[in-house]
Amino acid sequence: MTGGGGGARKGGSEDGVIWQDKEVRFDVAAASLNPGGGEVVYETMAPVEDHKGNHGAPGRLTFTNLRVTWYLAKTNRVNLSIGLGCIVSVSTTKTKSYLLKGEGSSIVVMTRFNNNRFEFVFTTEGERTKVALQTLGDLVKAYQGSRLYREVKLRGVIFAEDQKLKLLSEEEVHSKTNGVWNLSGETGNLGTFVITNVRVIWYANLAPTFNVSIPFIQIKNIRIKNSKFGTALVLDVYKQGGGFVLGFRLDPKEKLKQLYNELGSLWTAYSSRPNLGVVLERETQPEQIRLPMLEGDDDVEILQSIDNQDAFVAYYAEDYKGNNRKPEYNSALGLAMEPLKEGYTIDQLWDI
Amino acid sequence: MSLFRTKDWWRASVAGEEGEETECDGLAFCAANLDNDPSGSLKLAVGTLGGILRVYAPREPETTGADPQQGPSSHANSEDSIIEVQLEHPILQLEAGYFSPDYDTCLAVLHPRLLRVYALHKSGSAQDLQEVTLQKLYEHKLERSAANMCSGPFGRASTDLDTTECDAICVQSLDGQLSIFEQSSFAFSRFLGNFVVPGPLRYCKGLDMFFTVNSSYEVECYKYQTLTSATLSDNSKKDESSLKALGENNSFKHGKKLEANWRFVLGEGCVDIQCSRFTRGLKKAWTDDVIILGERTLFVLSSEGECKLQKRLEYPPTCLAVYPSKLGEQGAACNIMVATSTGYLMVYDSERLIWSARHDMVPVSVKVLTFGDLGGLVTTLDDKGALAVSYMGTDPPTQVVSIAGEEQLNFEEMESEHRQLLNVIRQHATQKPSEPVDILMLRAQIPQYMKALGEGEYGGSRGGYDLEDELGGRHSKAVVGKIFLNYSGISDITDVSISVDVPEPIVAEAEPSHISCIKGGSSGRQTPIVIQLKLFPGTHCLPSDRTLNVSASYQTPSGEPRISHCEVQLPLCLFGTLVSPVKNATYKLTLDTNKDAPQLVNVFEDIFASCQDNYFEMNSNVNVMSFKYFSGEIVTTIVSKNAGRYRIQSDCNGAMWLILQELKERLAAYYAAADQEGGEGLQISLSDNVPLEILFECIDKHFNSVEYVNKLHSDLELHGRRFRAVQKRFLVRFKDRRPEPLSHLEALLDDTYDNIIDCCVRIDETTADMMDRARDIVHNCHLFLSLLQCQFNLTEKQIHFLKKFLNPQVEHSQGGFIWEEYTEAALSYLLKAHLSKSQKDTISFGGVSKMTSTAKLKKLISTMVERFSRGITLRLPS
Repeated sequence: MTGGGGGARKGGSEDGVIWQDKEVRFDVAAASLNPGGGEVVYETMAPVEDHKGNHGAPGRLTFTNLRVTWYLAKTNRVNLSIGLGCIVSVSTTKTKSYLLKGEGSSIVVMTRFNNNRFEFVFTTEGERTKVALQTLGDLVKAYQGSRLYREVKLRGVIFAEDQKLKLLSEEEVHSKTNGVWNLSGETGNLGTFVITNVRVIWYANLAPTFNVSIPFIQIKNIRIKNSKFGTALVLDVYKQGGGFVLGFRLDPKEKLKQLYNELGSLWTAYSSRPNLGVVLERETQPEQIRLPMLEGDDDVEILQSIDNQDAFVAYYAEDYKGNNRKPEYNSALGLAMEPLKEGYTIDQLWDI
Repeated sequence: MSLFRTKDWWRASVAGEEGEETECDGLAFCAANLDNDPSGSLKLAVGTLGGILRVYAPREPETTGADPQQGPSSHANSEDSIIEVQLEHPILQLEAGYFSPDYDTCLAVLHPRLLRVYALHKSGSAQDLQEVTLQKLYEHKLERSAANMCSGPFGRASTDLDTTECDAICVQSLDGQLSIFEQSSFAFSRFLGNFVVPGPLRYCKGLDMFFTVNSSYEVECYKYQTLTSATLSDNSKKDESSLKALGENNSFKHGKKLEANWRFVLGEGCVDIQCSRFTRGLKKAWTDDVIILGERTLFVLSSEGECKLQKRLEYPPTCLAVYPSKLGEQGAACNIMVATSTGYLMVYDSERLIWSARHDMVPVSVKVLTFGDLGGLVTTLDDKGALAVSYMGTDPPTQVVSIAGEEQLNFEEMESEHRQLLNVIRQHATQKPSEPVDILMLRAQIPQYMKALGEGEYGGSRGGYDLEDELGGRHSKAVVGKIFLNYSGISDITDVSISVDVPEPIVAEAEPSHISCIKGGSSGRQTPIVIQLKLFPGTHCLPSDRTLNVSASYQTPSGEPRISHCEVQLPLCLFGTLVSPVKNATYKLTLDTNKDAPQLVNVFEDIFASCQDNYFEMNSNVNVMSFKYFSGEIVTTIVSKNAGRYRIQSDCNGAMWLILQELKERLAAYYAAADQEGGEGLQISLSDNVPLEILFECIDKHFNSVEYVNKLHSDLELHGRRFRAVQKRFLVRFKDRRPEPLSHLEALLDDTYDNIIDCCVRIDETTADMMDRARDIVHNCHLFLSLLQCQFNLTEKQIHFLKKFLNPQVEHSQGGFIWEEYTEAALSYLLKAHLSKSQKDTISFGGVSKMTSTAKLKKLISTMVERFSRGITLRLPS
């Protein structure tokens, strides 16, 4: 029994979940550079030089509401995709540029991904750098401030001081169903089920801090299933979103079916035009920016495109040690510390 | 600074969800087992000034990663957040403690006007959604705005700690009131003395003391007993109810000012105060020390207020953590961790820096905590609310090779470029630059005879020389030659102008002398272009040279100017003609050869041919030939046939140079043509020594003449000055209203004027004379060199080289150096550099200087001849 309005979401990538904002990827397939579902291009500029990896070669830098992409003008097979969620800091510096035949200004983007720090330096002429810095700064801020659009949140603050549901900036409540049991505990909790145009919220009636907020974008599947509590509405959340399986019960069955249909259609509607919540106030409308759709080589299908070992080595902001060793307590310092290599002591390391 | 970095163990961003800017104070952060979990694991509570309280339960990274494929993720999962509550008021400070007998750990939250104590109540099993609620236990409304607080078992000595009694809370207000709350009841309040703004407040459990820093930058210490006893001695009624009855102003008046137990002058602002055991050793009877982080200095004070350590910090610190250096050991000495505003964590053991690491954030609060089994994790909070649990990375500080800003150096390419450049340099040094191929070739063809010119042909305005008198002919004669311009280049050349340089007294006329364009390439081939060259003989002096120089300057399409050049010897017939032999002469030269002398007619064929009409028939078989220059000098050549001896004689010594040179050349050519089989080459030698006296005489005459001309010039200058002075005087007198009488001034003017005219005339005369003397030098110089060649058997090259020093060209420039001076300088250099016994490496050129007599020059010439006669060879430069 699959959801009436269910099905795979359009515009998603490999396993359907949105990765663009959460990951730093190198040399992805050309098609993955095109803005996916809900992705909006806010700024694009060329020529921009990737100072670290592709020194001296012109490329195109693009800012979307999810990520920053850069690809080489010659071949889009050399490219970068930097999720906004990975960005730690953005700054500017001056660098010597071969592309600009002299000193250029650069934006330095520090990122953290999978416990590794990457540093990207994009060089272009001064005016563009200013625009890039401004845009990226605004985007990161807007991205940070709109997490509830994209992330599952448990036990969050969902009520404002006036005891009204705190809604997101472009959010509208579609329905509010009381008497919905959350089946996570042994006994189940009676609460209220709220469907908006962006997410699903459930909160316990007695303890509003006991709540869950699930954006549509994290929902993998919606189904009706028989459980030990009887027929239940089950929401599957993507692994990246926490991998929860949430069951809800509502009596009578017809009402549950109705809730399921409503949720399904809203979810489908959302999936066709996802609202990812990152909004920038800009003079030029994002719709006016036309980007060439990128196409990869037709005869070549890149199967393994995520981890190109060679590509990302250049961007490490520090030593690349492959894997992080598990820390242990060091009695000399009284602090947790990465294990020392054999034959080394703290003093040897410190008293260089 | 250190190259080590911290590494993330766990991380959570409290940063504004739903857009709001969060701001966190370092005090609004505490770590404790807030939900009273049986495992005793620490929870982190963070409060923002926006009133949001968040509690996290950091878990080991391996278990938090929802997706095993993602590897260990250091980011907080939504499950790590235990609770998130929006409270009504801003959160100033959080304290965890035993504030209620029902819960081991409660959370005290300080709002500006409210103190609340909560317990975290957990229900449900450890399923996906575990229900955690925040339960309010009690609250105190504050009458004064709160600044900060501290908590602890006030009043109970550390030794007899009563575990049943709860912790109390002390709140400091913004105006310096300390209020003590014991659970749900208010105990008492005191005013701090000397108060302006609140400083940090800390209670030390071991000492039962309060520490704060007042506005005079002094640490103040208050024993709890001091606080309580102040009440008793002052106003026993002052309990909670009485305080309420009195107004705030009254309480100021009535409340007794507290007297601190001790004070210590810091002299700077205080960032944080911590109490812990700091001094090592002395296991027995230890007491806590007070560790104070100032804005620039770290202080350690004893409990008595004595300074134990004072360490100046080289960076602005932001917060302080004191943690036991040995985990789980009660009463162990502590290490100190200071976070800096530059983003470093510094670890001190006593005053010694034992570690430092770069941290991602600039913390406002730092704690060293234990999570799970792992102790010593550094937990930091920054002002934006980002929370990180990190450990120290130990990767040795290998230098990260920065690619940024440096293009990868291509050594091979650089090497090849270097080689290429070296090649170019070497080529320039060793080889002459190769001549361009597409050059204009010049060739001049001069016939050996004169041609009579018709009336029309004879250049009217150019002024020829009428030779009627001398030659008896009626028409002007000239040598008519041709100049051929050959151009084989591809591109066109433009602006070709031809110039011809002839020696005195010959006059040349080239037509056309300018060609605007010569087309290149095979299609537009116009070359050779023929230019007619007319050479007219002159009568006013002896010839100074016999070489004709033709040069053509032109421009290539790229705008480079180029010059082509050719030289040609002028025929003898241009300079004179044969006359009847003259037997007697003043000056005689005798040349010996090793060959039989040929007929003179055969040698001077062309000149005999040109004079056919009036001379040749008369002397068909001659051994005498008299050559008369157009200027009148006669040179006679007599051949002694058998001895192979030649005599050249003339009344004018200088006139012989041309005939001597011609004779030598013609004889050489004649014998070269005659003996095909080689044999012995022609040897011409001079029977006498080279006569120097005549040359010296010429030089003297010329020098005197030059001096005389110079003297006349200075005379002229003097007269001119005098003339102008007289003129001025005249003007002054004429302009005057009442002029003085001239008193024969006009006679002076006339006289001066006459002097000037006279002087000018004499200059004219003497200059012409000087020019004649100069020519004498030229001719004698030529002769001298020729004779030198004969006597010492010098090669052509040597003679050519010698000509550069004894130059047979005399030029005059007003005020410049004269020929004698140049020659003297050149010869002294020649003798040192090229005509000395021993060869020296570097000889500097002495430079030209003015001379007063010709003695030195004469001596130099004599020395040169003497050196040659001594057999010293002239060294040519390589």
